[in-house]
Amino acid sequence: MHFVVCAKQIPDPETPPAAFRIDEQSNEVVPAQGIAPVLSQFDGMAAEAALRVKETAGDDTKITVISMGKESAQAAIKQVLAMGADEGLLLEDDAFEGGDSYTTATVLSAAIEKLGDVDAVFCGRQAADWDMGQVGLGISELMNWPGSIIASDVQVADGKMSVKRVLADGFETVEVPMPAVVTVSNELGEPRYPKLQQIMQAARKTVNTMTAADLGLDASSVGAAGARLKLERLFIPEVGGDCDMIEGESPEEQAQALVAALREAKVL
Amino acid sequence: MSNDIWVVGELRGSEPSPWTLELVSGASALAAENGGHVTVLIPEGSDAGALERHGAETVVSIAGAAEQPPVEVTVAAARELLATERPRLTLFPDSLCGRDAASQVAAALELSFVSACERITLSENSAIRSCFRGQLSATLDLPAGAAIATVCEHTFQARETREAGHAERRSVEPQSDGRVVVTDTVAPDPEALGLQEADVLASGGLGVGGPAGFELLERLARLVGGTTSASRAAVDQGWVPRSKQVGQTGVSVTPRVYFACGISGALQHMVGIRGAGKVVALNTDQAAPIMQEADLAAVGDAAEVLPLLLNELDNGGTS
Ligand SMILES: Cc1cc2nc3c(=O)[nH]c(=O)nc-3n(C[C@H](O)[C@H](O)[C@H](O)COP(=O)(O)OP(=O)(O)OC[C@H]3O[C@@H](n4cnc5c(N)ncnc54)[C@H](O)[C@@H]3O)c2cc1C
Repeated sequence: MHFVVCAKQIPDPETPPAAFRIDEQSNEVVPAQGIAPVLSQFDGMAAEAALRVKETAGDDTKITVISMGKESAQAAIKQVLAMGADEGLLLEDDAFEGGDSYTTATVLSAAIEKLGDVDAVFCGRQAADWDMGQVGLGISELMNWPGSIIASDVQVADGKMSVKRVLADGFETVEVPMPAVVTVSNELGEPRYPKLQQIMQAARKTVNTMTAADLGLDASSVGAAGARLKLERLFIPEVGGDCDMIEGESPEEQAQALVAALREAKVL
Repeated sequence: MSNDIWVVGELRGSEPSPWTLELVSGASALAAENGGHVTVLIPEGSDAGALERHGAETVVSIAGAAEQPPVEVTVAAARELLATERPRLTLFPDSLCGRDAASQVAAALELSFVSACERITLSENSAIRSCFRGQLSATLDLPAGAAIATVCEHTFQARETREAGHAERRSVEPQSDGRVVVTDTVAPDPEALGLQEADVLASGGLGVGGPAGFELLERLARLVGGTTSASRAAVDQGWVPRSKQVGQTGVSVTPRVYFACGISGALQHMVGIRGAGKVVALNTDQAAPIMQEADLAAVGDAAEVLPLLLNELDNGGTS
């Protein structure tokens, strides 16, 4: 079988608020000095899900990790290769920039089509920067493959994928014929941590690069030109502000003041 | 071009969920400002009266779905109807199923889609949502043609504004493509339902330091007649079971009082407590986002302040 894992590199979401800056011209987040971008959290879990299936299948299943991004996204690809994926594919083109979930799905689908023999696509449930959560189902729709989202467990047998999906108040297991698309959630568990040896091996694994032209995509259908969603403004929100701070030098005074304030506010 | 607004609703049990009623009220308010007719698409068997009282002018029921059906059924129905009706805007709750359904419908019908909206201004064709763990906000275009949005809980207020009995009723029998087959379902976790109904929640995050911190919160919860809950980080540590997790990937809660101890206040946590009455924060870091959003906050070490708080409450109880 041939699996694809889609991986996005994002500004570290744990960046402290004070380090966040916005370029008002381009409406983009300026990467904080000295804080390296990371693999989006859920994409690591998608890789983990694909690797688990590969291990139980025990056959010559191949995993290709695809990232649409700048040259720096090589780091995200390498991370998934170090976890155990076999090959990398970077989709890099100036024309891809400024796009939305839909153009991202367009580009990824074109690459999946190009690979030709793909049986399953694993995506994270949403990227931890924008939390849009639309790329996976976008690919499913564009490929006309069944898609299932928010998986906490994925199994494959007899050309079918069985997905345990998370509901607001329980779980539901669904079965879909492959090829299929699945998006993976944190309920699956933590992604594996590569060993040093695996990191060194990953450095030697092949990472191909493709442009819009390689994928047969017209520049007008991707990036900012093809996007349906237009970002008007990115800004730092003003928050609340009417919070009462409890006074008190010592923890004892604080505890007393807190109880008093709660009683006064008729909370207790 | 139509000005109409649709709401694709969900059931909780066999009733329209409170979130759905909020969206119906929201749609009705938007229509009052901008014109247009409000239609609700919802599984059959739900109380259409409640939808009408919140402003639904047409109720379209999905035949054969007495309870919330698998998302594929909702998608099939919405896809079929929205393709022909082309309302100006269709709202879904930003629940797991809601966002799933909305993404599929938007992709299939090639419509603009904004997830997790926190404000919608139709006169400006725009929506506001958070990103980067709530540290940033974005204004996005909600183009005038036809757009889809999922809406965060408590963005709109549920309001009964009219009498029941006037809405037009229709029903659809969606044709699902049958590719996705449900083979098993696991019932709701009773503990999660407990959180939803709690009057007071004593909630802990990484800052409570470990299971011992949660024992203190347990005692606090008992003293004030509530129960405990947690941030995902605390759940991931294994300090408390996942059913206690509050937030976007956990439970949304509506207690009268929410004690957030050692919780930083990440957006994904905060969306779960939008419906809470008073938020009381205890945190060592005055600059933590929770401190801005709380109604009452104390800068302090949970391990020190909590035991003293318990003492105070005990004393208060006996004096
Ligand atoms: C898509 C997505 C979905 C998510 N879903 C959820 C969700 O449903 N629910 C959820 O909670 N999170 C969720 N998260 C994770 C979320 O982003 C945060 O990482 C998480 O909420 C942080 O938990 P925390 O506040 O306990 O930990 P931290 O952010 O590490 O905060 C700990 C806080 O404790 C304070 N502290 C430290 N020591 C002490 C002390 N001794 N006394 C008092 N205070 C102290 C610190 O100042 C800090 O503010 C999600 C993330 C993503 C990307």
